[in-house]
Amino acid sequence: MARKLRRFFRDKRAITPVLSNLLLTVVAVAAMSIATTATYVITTNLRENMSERVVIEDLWFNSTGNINVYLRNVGKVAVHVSAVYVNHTSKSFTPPLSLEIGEHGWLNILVSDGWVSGSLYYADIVTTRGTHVGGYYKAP
Amino acid sequence: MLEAIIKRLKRDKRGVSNVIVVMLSLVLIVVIVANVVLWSYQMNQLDWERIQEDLKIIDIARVANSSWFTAEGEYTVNEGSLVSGDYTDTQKIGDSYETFMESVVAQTLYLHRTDVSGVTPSGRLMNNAQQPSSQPETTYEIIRAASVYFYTPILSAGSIENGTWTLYIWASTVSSGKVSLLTVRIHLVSSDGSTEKATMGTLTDVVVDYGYSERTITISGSAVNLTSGDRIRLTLYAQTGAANDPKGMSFYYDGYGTYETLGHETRLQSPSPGGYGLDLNGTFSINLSIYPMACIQSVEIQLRYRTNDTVEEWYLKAYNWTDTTYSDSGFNNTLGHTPTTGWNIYAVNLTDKWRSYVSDEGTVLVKMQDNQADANQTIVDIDFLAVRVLVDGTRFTFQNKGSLTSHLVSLWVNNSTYHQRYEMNIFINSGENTVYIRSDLTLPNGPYKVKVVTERGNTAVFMSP
Repeated sequence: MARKLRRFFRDKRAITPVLSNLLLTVVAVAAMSIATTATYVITTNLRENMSERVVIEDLWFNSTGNINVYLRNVGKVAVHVSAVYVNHTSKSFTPPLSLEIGEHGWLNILVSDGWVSGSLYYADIVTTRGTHVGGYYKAP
Repeated sequence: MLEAIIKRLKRDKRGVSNVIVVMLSLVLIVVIVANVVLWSYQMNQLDWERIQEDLKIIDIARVANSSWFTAEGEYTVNEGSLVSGDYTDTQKIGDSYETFMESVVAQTLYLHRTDVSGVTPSGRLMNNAQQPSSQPETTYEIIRAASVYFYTPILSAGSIENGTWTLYIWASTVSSGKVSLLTVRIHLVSSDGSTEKATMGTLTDVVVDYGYSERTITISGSAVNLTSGDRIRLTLYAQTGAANDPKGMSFYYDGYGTYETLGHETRLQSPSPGGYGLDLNGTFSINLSIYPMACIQSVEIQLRYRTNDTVEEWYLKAYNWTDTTYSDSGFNNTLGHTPTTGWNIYAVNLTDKWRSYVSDEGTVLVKMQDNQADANQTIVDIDFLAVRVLVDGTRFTFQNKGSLTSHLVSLWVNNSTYHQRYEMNIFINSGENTVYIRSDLTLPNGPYKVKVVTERGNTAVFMSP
C-alpha cells in the first residue's frame, strides 16, 4: 500500500492529459450551451411567428370618417398590433391593441382626410412579429 | 466481448467530451423538433381545420311565437276516464281526437276570503279551487250571535243526492276556559242569495272548545234539484246563549301555515257522489335550446275540444312550480270557457306570470278540468292541446356542412350606417342545422348584412333580400 502511494506521487506524467481533457470538456460544454440557447431563442421566435393568426371580423367605415376594424386573435400566441396601413400609407390608430389568445376588440384607424364613399381601400394591419392581416374594402 | 469494450472505453480518454457533444446535440435536436416541427404540424392542423369549416346562414326571420309543443305522453286522468284514442290524437288539429268521459266525484269546496258580489246577505266564496300553497292562512272571528256566509259560484242545472256533508274546520273558541256552540247550515239559494230554495242540511250545538284543532263536522244532507243560476250557501253561526263565549269563535282558512296543511284545509265536502267531473293533466316540454328562458315573453296554452254539454264551464290551469299547485292565477282568462256545439278553441295566455308555470327544464304541466261536478256525465273530445312560447326576437338558422363541429362566437348585424356586434356561444355539430333565437336585437328596416364568425376565424354572411 505504502509502495503504491509513493509511486503515485513520483509519477509526474498524468497532469498534462488531465488538464487537456478538462479544458476540452469545458470548451465543449460552453460551445454547446451557446448553440442550445441560440437554437432555443431562434426556434421560439420561429414558433411564435408560425402561431400568429389574426382575422378581421368586421371593418366599418363609420360616419366620423375613421375606419373601425374588429380583430380577433384566433392563433396560439398573443399578438400586438404595431402598425396599420391604409392604401400603403401608415396611419395612426387607437387604442394600442394587444390581444391575448381568443381575445377580440376594436381598432380605430384615424383617417385624417376621411374616407370617400365608393372608393376602394386596402387595409393592412401588421403585428410586432410581422404578420399581416387585411384586404380590400369598398367604402359604402 | 463486453470486457473488450470496457477496456477500450477505459483507454479512450476522448470519450467524455464526445459524450457531452452528442448529448447536447440531442438536446438541440429536441428543441428544434419541439419548437419547429411539432408546432408547425399543430399550426398546419389548425389551418386545415379552418379550411374544413363550412358554415352557412340559411335563414333569418322575425319570430313572435314558437311552434306548438304537444303532449309528450298519455294524459293523467285524475277524475273521469279515457274512452278512446291516445295522446297522439291531440297533437294535430283536425285529425283524430281523444275522448274522455266524466265520472262521479265528491265535491270539495274550499273556503276563501274573497267576497262574492251581488249576494245578500253578503258572504265569501267557496269553490273547488284549492288556495295557492304559498298563501298564508288567515283567521275569521265570529262573535257570539253572528254568522258568516260562504257561497259557491253560480251552478248549472243538476241535482245533488242525499248523503253526508262534511265540514273540516280549524276552529277554536276565542276565550280560554270557554266554549262556543256552532250551527252549520247548508242551503240552496238563488243567485243573489236572497231566496232560500231548500235546506240541504243543518247541524246545531257543535261544541267548539279552546285551542285550534281540525274539527270534522258531519251534516246529514237531503237531495235537491239545482236549476241553472242557483248557489249553495254555507252558514256558520256562533250560537247565542250566556254559557257561550261572548267573544265567539274563530277559525283558520284560505291558506297554509301553523294549522292548515295540504289535505287539511278548512273545507266543505259534498256527499259522494257530488256529481260528474273530469280532471286531467298532461306534460309539455318547451325546447329551451331553441327558445331560452331569456327570450320568452309569455306562454300560451291552446285547447280545441268538443263536449256534449254546452252549459258546463271548462278551465285550463298550469302547475305553479313556486306554489306547487295547479292554478290559473295571472292568466289572461280565469273565467273558464263554456263550449258551444261543435269544436271550440279555448286559449289562455300566462301573461308575465309565465315563469312560475315553467320549470327550469322547460316543463309545463297543464290541467283541464270542469268548473265543478254536475249532474250530467259529459263526454269530452280533445282534438288539440298544446303549449307554445311567445317571443319577440330574431330567428337565425345556421347550417354546418363542414366535417367538424363549429363554435360560433360572434354575430354581426350591419347596414350602411350601423355595425353591431353580439356575443354568442353556440356549437353546431357537423352536418346539422341549428335554430338560434335572439330577443335582444332588432333587424334594420332597410337592407342589412348578418355575419357570424366562428372561433377558428371563418365568417358566414347573409344578405337581406
